[in-house]
Amino acid sequence: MTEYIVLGIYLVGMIYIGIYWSKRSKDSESYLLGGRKIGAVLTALTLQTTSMSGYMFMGGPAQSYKDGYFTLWYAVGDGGGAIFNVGILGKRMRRLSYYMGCLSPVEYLERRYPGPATRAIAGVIAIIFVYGYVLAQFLSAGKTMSALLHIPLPIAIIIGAGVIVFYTFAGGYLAVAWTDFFQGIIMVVSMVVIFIMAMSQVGGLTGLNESLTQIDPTITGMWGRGNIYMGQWGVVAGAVLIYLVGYMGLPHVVIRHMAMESPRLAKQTLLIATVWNQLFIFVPYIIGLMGIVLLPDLNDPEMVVLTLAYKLLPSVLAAIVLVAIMSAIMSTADAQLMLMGTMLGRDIYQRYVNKDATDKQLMMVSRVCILVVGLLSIVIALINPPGVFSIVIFSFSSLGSAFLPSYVCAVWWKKANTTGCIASMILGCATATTWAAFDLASVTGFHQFFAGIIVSILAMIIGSQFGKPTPKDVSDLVDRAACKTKIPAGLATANYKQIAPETSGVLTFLKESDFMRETGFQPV
Amino acid sequence: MIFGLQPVVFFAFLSWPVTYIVVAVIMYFVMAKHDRKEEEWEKAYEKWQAQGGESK
Repeated sequence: MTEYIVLGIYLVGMIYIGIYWSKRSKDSESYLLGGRKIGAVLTALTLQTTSMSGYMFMGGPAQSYKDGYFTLWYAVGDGGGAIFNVGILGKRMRRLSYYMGCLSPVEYLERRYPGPATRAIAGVIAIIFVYGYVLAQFLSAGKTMSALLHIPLPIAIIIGAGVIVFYTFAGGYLAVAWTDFFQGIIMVVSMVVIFIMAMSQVGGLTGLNESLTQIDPTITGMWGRGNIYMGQWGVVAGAVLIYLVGYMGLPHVVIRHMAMESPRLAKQTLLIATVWNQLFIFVPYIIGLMGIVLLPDLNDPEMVVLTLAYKLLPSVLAAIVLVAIMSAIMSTADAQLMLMGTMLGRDIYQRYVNKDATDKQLMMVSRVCILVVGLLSIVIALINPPGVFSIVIFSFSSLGSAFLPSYVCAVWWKKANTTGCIASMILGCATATTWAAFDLASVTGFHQFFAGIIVSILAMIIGSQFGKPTPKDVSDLVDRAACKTKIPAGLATANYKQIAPETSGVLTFLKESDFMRETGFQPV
Repeated sequence: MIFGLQPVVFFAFLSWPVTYIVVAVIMYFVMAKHDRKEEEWEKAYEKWQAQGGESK
């Protein structure tokens, strides 16, 4: 009964947030991007909770329960994901998207790499794989609720996914960001509480590792239980890279940079997101390891976190862990659903159907698209046709491989052009998808993301040597986003004064002695 | 052994949380320094625009 009450309060809270922000989303920019007024804490938490799905509560711990310490390679990459994502893209992407007036990450690519093919190809790839993700998250939400609350799957899907659709439809980006904020707090607190309680049961980290070594020494080794991954550095590189840099290629994640209130918030965002990561990412895998000691006869390893919660915590706290699992799923699903609405409204409707659409029309169409896509996804999840959900198995790798070089080069390499972007998107996506579909990782020893990203980067570099160069106006904006536009020397004096304060005295002397006026000398 | 793990395993897996936090703190200060420079640049850029510089 406690679970129903706690989950009920949580779902009502999410609905309230949706209603609250629905009254405050006045125009398309506020509905689709939160009016670019999202602060550092909110950006950090929405960025990270969007990145982390229910996998962290179920799949991740289950993997470490089965494979031992080897699974922490994923955490090693994931833990540093925010440093790369915010550090490399944050500020510059925020500036460039603002200068180019973009509201969607696909539109951003089209304006940076001008040409009708850019938006068409980026749009098709993003819509297919993000939609696959949405479907999978809806089904996960339903299955989790059904398994944990012992209610029929169709009812669970309708309740779980229905709440996500409602608050995203009503409140737009602001509702998504604020629900992500609360969900992020619930997720990290739950995980840390279970971690502390379980750690006290196994005798601390040393006690845990000694117990694991007694069970099987290879569990605490580098290469997985039974050393099954011995020497597979390609798999390790893929496991680390996929989450270390992969988020920079996910459209529903990078759109968070575009919504930041100011580029200067990137540093706080990076710090907060990284600390949150260390609390949340390593812990689930270690809980999985503790499960080996505390729950040696567990039938379903995916239930290790929840089983430990019910074993070690009072029923109310255990119910909050259940809510945390739902939070992890919902925080990812809402961002993807929001992005679907943004792309369909901004990139399809306003681009191809009604070019003169007013701001209110765009907002209305985006809302309707979220509702339609959401309801359609619920229906498909209820039918659960075979094959559809296999898309998600390679969604992450395919999206990351398709878009990562294009997003990074957009702000760091102004010579990256449309040809390079198109080649990179098509070949990167095709490689990662083929690799996953034919399980080439097991044949070659290289993870699909590793293969996809190598091909994608090479395609960007080689492709950018051909075709039309980046137009001057775009190139100038890239310079401006990097604060590298050359400004006449007299106006830029403040720069070198700050870099070398001692020069200010020399400058003052030169100005006062009329040296500069008489000789025409200008400091550079 | 470190916390019951071979040193290579410990450093491969469990040294990262502390490493990442230290890197994030360093990044914070590096980015703050860049922010100050960029703020000056933006002021100069705006001044230039106001004086009829490049119109974007």
